[in-house]
Amino acid sequence: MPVDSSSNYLAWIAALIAALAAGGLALKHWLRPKLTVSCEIETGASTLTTASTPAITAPDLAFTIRIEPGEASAPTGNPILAAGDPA
Amino acid sequence: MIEPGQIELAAMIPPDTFDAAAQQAAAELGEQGGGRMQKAMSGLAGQRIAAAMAEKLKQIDLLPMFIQGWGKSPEIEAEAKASEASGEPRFIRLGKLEQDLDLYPILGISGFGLSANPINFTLTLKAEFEAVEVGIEKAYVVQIGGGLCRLAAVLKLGQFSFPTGVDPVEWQVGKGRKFEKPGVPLLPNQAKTKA
Repeated sequence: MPVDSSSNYLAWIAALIAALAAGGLALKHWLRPKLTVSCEIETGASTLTTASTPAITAPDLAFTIRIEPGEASAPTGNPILAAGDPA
Repeated sequence: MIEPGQIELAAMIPPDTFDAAAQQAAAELGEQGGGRMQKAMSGLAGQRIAAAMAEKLKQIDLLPMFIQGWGKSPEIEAEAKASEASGEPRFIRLGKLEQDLDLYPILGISGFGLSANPINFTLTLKAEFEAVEVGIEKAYVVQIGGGLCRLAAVLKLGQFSFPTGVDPVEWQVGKGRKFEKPGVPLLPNQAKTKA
C-alpha cells in the first residue's frame, strides 16, 4: 500500500500542535501561582509606601489590647469616721 | 459593661493623650532599631489606639479594684474581721481616703504580615474617696452609697508621662451600688479564694 507522504506530514503537524497545546496549558497552569504571588508582593510594597506617608489611614493594621490590672495601694488619710451595726 | 454607679475611666483620658503616647512609642521603636515598618505602623496607630483603648477601658470596672485595697488599712481590716467573726452585716462611713491604682495596658500592632514589639503603657489612677458609706458582710463589701469619689489619671510610657490635661472626674456615689454576693473581698485570703 503506497504511503501518502502529505497525509503523514499533516498527521505529524497535528500531533505537534496537540503537543504544543498541551504543553501550553501545562505551562500556563504552572505559571499562574507565580504570577499571583508576584502580584501580591507588588500590592504589599505599594501599600507600605502609602502607609509610610503621615495622615493616611492604614486599614490593614490590627490591634490587640490587653489591660493587666495592678493592685490598689493601701488607703491613706482618715479611713473610718463611724462604724456600727445597721440600724 | 457600664453599670449604674460604675466609674467610667474613658472620660478621664482624652484621645489626644493616647495619641501623644503613641507618637512617643513610635519614636522609641525607631531609636531602638525597630525598623521602618514598626515605626510606620506605630505612627499611624495613634488615633486608632485612642479609640480602641477607650473602648477597652469602658469594660473595666474600677470600683471593686479600689475596694479590694481598702482592706490594707488596719482600721478597715479590723471592721472586716469583726463582721466575719460575728456573721452580722456592718456599716462603716469612710473619712477621706486617697488611693493609687496602676493598670498596665499592653498594645500589640500587626499588619503587612509583621508584628511590632508590644507597647507597654502604665495608667496610674489616683482616687480620693470622701464620706462613702460601706456595707460589709462577712468581710465582703456588699454595697456602697453616699459620698463622692474624685479620680485623676496619668498615662505613662517608660520614663515619659502624658498628663491628661483634664480636671479630676468627680463621681457622686449617691444611691450607690450593690455588689453581687458574696461581694468584694476586703481580706487578702478572700481575694485569692475568689480568684
